[in-house]
Amino acid sequence: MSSFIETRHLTLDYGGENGERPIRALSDVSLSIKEGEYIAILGHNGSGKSTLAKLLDLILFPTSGEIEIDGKTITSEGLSDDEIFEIRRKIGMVFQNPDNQLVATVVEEDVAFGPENLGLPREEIRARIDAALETVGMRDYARHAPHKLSGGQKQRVAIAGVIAMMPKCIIFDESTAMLDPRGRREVTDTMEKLNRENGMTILHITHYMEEAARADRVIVISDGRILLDGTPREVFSRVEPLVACGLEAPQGTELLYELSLCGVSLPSGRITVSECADALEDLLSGKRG
Amino acid sequence: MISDITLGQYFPGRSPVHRLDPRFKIILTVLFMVALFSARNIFVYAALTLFTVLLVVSSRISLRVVLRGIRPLLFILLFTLILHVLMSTRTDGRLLLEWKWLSVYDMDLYRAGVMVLRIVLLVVGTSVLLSYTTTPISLTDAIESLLKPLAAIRVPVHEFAMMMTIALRFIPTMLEETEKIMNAQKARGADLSSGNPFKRIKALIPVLIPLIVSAFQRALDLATAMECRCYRGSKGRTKLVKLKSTPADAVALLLFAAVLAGVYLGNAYIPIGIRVG
Repeated sequence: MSSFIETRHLTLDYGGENGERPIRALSDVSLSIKEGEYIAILGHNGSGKSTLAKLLDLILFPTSGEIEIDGKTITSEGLSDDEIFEIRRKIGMVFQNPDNQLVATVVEEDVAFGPENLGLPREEIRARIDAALETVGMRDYARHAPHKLSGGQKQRVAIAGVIAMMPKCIIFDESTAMLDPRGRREVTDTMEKLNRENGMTILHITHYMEEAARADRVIVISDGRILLDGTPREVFSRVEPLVACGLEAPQGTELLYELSLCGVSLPSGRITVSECADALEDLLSGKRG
Repeated sequence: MISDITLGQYFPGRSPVHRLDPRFKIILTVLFMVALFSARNIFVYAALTLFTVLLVVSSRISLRVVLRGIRPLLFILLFTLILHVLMSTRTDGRLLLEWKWLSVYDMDLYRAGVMVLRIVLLVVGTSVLLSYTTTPISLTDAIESLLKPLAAIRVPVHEFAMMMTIALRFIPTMLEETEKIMNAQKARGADLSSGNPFKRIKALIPVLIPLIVSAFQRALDLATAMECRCYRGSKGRTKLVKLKSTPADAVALLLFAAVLAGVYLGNAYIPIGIRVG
């Protein structure tokens, strides 16, 4: 499959208007995302991961380099409003604060907001609302007021609002950061479902390792550059660079890594808790036996 | 909890008043207000009172709710009453009381009574027609729809309606936040509930500033989120909810028009009764 999103030497500087030195948020980022991929983008605060999301949804335009989305090239020149509109209907975005992205006072009317903007006929909007709320498991709350829902539920409504526009790709810009563990699980479960069942391209920007581990591919960004790019197994086994850029490998992996530094021979590439436990059990029983 | 305050004062229901098209309800409210202020004869006022009572009955809003709606007005009503009786410079009717500069005629009492009645009917009638039986959101839709002709002369009708919707959406969120900030300030020793009014207002400043700052942050976030959901004003936009008028709306409109006509006829032709205003 050809790539759906491709960035070539993408660079973005902030500020620098009044003779100040501009701050480089992203530098020379080249990556290719295929349709249907489930990607986690990891990075410490200020690593540039949210800047990347803003570039992909045309909230910002690159200082240099270019982005190609579904065959359309975006450069520092920017695009006309109509061209932006066409790209935004292909890429949906779910933000961090669930309260600040819901527009309407009733759940279903909020989900209708996107399709209304697309100018769809009324029956089509109705059908999309029902399908979208069904997908995120919020059908029973269609007539509720958003402010009475939990954080996870609000975020699922926000996701439904994006799904109802039927984009090819959804970017989750730290959408789990403000949620409690339960809300986070609800949201990541929904992401996974959208990817596996609806074939949607998912870009999940996060700093939670456990969430990133659920993706098919993990990209680590540090200081505006791509540091690591690979399967969760490949990326999390590289404990040293992860720690160097302020991230933590999953605890089990880190334990195995520390042990191996002490000269204990252990297999690498174990990332889940049970895998690590198994590795330790094998080691211990091997020693006894 | 402050956040328990409901949006507006809507009481869900399926009464005939609830089911009217909100656009018609706004027009009916205007007709009702015109009728109320056009009445000149106390018999006409009696008829309007009866009409208002019937309106309340058909909305199936409990009398307790309606009375509770009047309670905050007691002070204004009392004030109106006293002002009309004491400050009247007209000298018609029978003189009831004279003391130094003060003179009270019976007509003053009638006029004051009618004024109070007018305010009560106004509040009861409009709240039964609009706030108790119409959701804020359908009210916004109705206003947008009624003002649509103005869009031709570049009045930003859609933007105005969108602003109202967003305001309604964020009232509970901001209330919740106010409570959070107040608790945070109290936890740091702020005293928000004692001292004279001036002191108390001053004590609210540390609550208001963070609230306003965060409101701006929310506004920025929301604007970005709306853009990402392909919002570009009313351009090419369709709507999920379509307001539909039914024959019942036409009937209600005729009824209210008849009431208004009745008021004018009553003013002109009822020979007996005391003329007020």
